[in-house]
Amino acid sequence: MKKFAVCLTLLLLFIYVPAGGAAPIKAYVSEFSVTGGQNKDELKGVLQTLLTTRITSDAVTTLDNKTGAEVIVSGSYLQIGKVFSIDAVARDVRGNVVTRSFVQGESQDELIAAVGKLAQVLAGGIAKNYVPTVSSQPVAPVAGAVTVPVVAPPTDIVRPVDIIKPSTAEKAVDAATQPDIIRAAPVAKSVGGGWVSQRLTGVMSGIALGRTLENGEREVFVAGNRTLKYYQMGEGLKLVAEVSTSGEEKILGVDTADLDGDGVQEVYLTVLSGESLVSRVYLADGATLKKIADNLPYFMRGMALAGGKKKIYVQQMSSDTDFYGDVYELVKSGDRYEMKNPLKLPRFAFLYNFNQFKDREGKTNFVVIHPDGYLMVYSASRDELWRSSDKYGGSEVYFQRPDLSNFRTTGDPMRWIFLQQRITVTGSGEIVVPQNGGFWVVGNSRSYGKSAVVAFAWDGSSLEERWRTRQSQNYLADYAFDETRKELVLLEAVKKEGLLDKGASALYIKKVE
Amino acid sequence: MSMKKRLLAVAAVSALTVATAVPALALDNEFHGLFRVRGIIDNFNDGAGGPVGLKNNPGTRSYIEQRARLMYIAKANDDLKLVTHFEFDSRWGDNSYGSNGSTRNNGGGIGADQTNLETKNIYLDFNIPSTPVNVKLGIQGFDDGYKGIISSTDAAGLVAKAKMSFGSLGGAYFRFDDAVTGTGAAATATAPASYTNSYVGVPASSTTAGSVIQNSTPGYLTRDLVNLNAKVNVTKDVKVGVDYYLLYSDVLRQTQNRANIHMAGINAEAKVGPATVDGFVLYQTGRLGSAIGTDSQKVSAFAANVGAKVKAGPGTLRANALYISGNRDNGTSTRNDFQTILERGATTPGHAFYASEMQIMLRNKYNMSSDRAVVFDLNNGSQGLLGGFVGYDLAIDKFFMNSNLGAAAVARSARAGSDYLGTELNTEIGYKMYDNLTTSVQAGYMLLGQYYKPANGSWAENPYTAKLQVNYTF
Repeated sequence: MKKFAVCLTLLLLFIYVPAGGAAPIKAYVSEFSVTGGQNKDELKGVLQTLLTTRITSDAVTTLDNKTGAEVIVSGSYLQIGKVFSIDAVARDVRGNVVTRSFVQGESQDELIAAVGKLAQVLAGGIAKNYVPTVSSQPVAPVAGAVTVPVVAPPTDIVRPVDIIKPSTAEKAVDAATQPDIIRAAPVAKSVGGGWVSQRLTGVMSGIALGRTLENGEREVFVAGNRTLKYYQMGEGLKLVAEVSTSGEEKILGVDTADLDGDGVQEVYLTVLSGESLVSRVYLADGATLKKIADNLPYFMRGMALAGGKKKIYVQQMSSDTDFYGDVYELVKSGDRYEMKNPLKLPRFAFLYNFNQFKDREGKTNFVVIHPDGYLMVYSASRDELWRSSDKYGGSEVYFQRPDLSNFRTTGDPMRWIFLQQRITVTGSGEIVVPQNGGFWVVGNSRSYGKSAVVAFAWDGSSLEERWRTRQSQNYLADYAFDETRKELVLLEAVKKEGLLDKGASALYIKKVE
Repeated sequence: MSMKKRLLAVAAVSALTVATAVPALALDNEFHGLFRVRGIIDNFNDGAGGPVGLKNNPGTRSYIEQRARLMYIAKANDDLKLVTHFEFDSRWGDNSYGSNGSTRNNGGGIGADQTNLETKNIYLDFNIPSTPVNVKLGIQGFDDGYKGIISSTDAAGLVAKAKMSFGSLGGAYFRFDDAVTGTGAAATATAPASYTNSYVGVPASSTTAGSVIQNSTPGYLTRDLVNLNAKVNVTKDVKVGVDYYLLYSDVLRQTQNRANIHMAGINAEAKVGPATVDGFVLYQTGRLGSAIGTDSQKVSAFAANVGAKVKAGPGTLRANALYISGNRDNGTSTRNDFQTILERGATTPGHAFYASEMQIMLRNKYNMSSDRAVVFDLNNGSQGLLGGFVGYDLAIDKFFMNSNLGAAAVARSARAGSDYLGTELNTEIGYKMYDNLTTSVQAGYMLLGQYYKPANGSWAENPYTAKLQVNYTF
């Protein structure tokens, strides 16, 4: 009997010890908000990293993302003069405060030590006060009780969870766990001020923004294959004027820029007629589109290279080369337009698939979408520095040129030349790139069916994703980034063109911050 | 598990890992293709290739043929890719299950199942590191810079091209034939009929008709083409190219001398105002293996072209003139007829002049297995050709129309009477159903010229054609 009792005791101990032994509490440190001081963006990531590494103890372990975290620590940094204060709060998955603490210092020299001290206090508080949740299943709300949302409201912008350089949008969800299923909210109600226009007849291919009028409405220029439409965008889109091309002319793109510095942006329309470029420039006067230049033999695209001033850049077409020679800046001299300041591009780059950005040392690098869709970074000396694993860009806009010499191989008397999505570099150095995808994208047959817009930042070695829009089930034809309002204005094809159907398009606005 | 079994298991897992991981990491896949169906009603095509046998009462033929092509490109990296291209041709109702003993251009019969895969191209395309040189190595298409009148065909060879600041430099080598036939009775039994005919384009007259070559050694009896070229971009819109070609054949050296045809050519293209003008001049010299005289004849021949296109109204106006020199008497020591390249017989030419856009008089670019033309080989039976062709292309949104008018005569002939071959009028009216899918109706009629005036009896019937075509490319 004694032997049996001893064995039973040992067995119970064996079972009890691992079950009852306190496993480390899983914590996640989200991005800090920073007020005052310099290098705010860098400090957000640095503080997060410092606290993540220092809060780890026997009782607390840290995770790289929110998934599976039992405690989420969020903090803020405030600096006035040289004095700083770091305040942090740890909450459980229900949003209940587990512990909170703060430290302060007299100068930046004390920052690291202060974070260490804060981590120690927080770790102790978490170990002492945290009560594990019995079930990981969502708790049904009790009638009459104040409910804490478990799933954060979706936004138009999705930011990756990352230890090194997370983003501020994390604050919106720092009190909740990351859900396995992301439920899309109606666009018009989504956080960030989502807006969608009325349905536009026809599959449009290009968009450009003009000035903001006194009544607050924005000028928007939308181009299709054979039409340019001038809208004023307020609560809805109001068609103001429209011009069409004739014969075999095809519109390849629309852009805006104020090249003469009069405060009014001109509208630059790239038009191909047969094998000749007959691009033109319009001026929107509030009621009509007035043509101020015609038969310009250029492909044109508006870009703010390296996040600078937006200008129009051009490239020529030769008798046997689709994009001939260097890219030039288009300069307006009186009523005439001239090419100036040639820019030599790296391999695979042409007018429609590149931009530039500056790295931390101020060097100007190129970012290019490879013909196969990879995002590439070249140094100022045109050496390849990096290329993505995923594919980006993707456009259904193309033009054709006779190509009888390859007819025997292609079976098509025309050669297909596809353009590429524009790359925008913001003033803060973010690189914004669309990403179209779809099932049937083979050779010259392109029919994209879903899209997103992705922003990257260069960390010195590679492009790191900063945020992306939620995936749309439409092909993104073109977009414009309104830097002032921090808005993406997306032109999406909501219905493909059919045999007897012109298809339809719509404009979407997504707030980036 | 024994150590041996463990090692085998580890090896199997490793192999599987490599097999599944490497392609995903290393290759980018690119696909292109074509599908074309043509319903044909005419009085000169019969589903095969070759010159038209004009006659008084040819009857009307109506049939449907189709072609599919699939191209797969395996890209290892930016500088290396393997290009493969395959073709499937059939005439609706022609054959199935391989029951006619033939494989290619079959499979449209009831039951369909047919081994009819044709290899069109398989070649490696790569850039030589640290140089501006691109190389294409293997079975590939080769189109000259002379609108196809020298070579517009597929063959095994090597093409190298270097981009230079002024334009480009290039070279090419192709082995057209390596005539291994066996010997004795085997050679007679296996040698294609074409081995007893021309290897540089002039059927029968340049060879010992009926002779059978005998050879068991690869590389001994060959036909080869060598090209050296340079292209200079004078300006953005003015380009000049120069070429040297050597067409060499000793396939028939058991009965006659080798053929060495040297060609020097210059081509140019310029944009002048709203017009684009292009053209070329080619001169041939050397010796043609022949049964005449001392087993070879001296060659002195040339070809020339001038073309232009200009925007006119809502469309584009095109014009082309082509001269191919001819010869009056093939029995003399010098030949003045321009030596063209045939593949392996008079029904498969390795050249064309698609710029004419003729549907009956000359080969048309859309022709598939049905590939007949009044002037099929531009050598034109040693008579050469003098032709003028004008056309107008109109495209409005999804509709397009191409209309052409052409007239031609033989350049030189020993025949008495008119040299005028005739006049052709044709048109194609089409609609782009989708970006990649077009459907069109084509029709052509050729009014035969006095060249075909019979010595007695009735005239041959004027050839005509009408086609309904669906063409899908991607």
